[in-house]
Amino acid sequence: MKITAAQYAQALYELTKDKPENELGVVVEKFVQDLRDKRLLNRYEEIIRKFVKIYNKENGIIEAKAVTSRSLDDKLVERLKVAVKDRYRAKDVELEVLTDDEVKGGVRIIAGEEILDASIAGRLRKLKKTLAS
Amino acid sequence: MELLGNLGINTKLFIAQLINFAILLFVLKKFAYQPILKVLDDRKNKIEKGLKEADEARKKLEQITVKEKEVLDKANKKATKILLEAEEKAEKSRAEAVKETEEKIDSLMKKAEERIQEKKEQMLRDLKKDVADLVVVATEKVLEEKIDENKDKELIEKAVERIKS
Repeated sequence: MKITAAQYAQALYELTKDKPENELGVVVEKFVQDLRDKRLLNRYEEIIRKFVKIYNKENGIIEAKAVTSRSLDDKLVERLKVAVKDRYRAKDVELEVLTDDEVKGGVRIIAGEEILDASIAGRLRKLKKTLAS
Repeated sequence: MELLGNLGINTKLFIAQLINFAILLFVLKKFAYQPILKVLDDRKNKIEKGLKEADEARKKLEQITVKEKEVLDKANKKATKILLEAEEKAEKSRAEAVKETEEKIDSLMKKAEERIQEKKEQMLRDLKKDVADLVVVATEKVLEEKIDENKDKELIEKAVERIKS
């Protein structure tokens, strides 16, 4: 039976979750050796991506993206992180800030399945939809 | 005899005449009267037979006439029935054809109305979309000019407040 990347990621999480920091290196090394033996190193990135997702979920960490038309100062980024953290009652937020001219102002936040669109482009889209309906 | 003589009748002649008469009667009866009677009888029988046959023929004719009448009546009734049925059938099929045509016309009308309504709605949708596009493009242009860095920051800060709640 073929073992999926999600199953490897779950196994890695189980192996590492209660280990002290000084033992983590050894555990990960063994895991990588196992992948190499099974000729699965080409799936390493996918496994790590899934591992991060599992880790974040288990530890109450939210992954979010903030898309703006201009780069933001650190203070505003921090305020955004706090806002997202409060909204989802998360322990921590991993916020990736991206710039895209298409948003035309304001911010669009993508957190998991939810999109909080407070951008000008989003408002214009809503306006267009309302006028056309 | 004497009496006959007193009456002036010659007895001998009288007797001879009687005998003559008797002979004549006999001869007539034997050779003329009987055949005549027979001929008459035959003729009477023939006439009676003819009359009887004529009567029978008349009765038969009457019977035939009655039967003929019955047959004619029957045929008439049958013909009338066939005609009525044919008329009913024709009326029914005419009514069906009319109904079918009416239904077809209704269906066509309905389809045409639906198509017109659909076109109308499509035109309205297109018009609304065009108007919406124009409004959005115009608004976009105005906003592009109006939203500077400070205004953008202000918008994001407002968004932060909204996200929290």
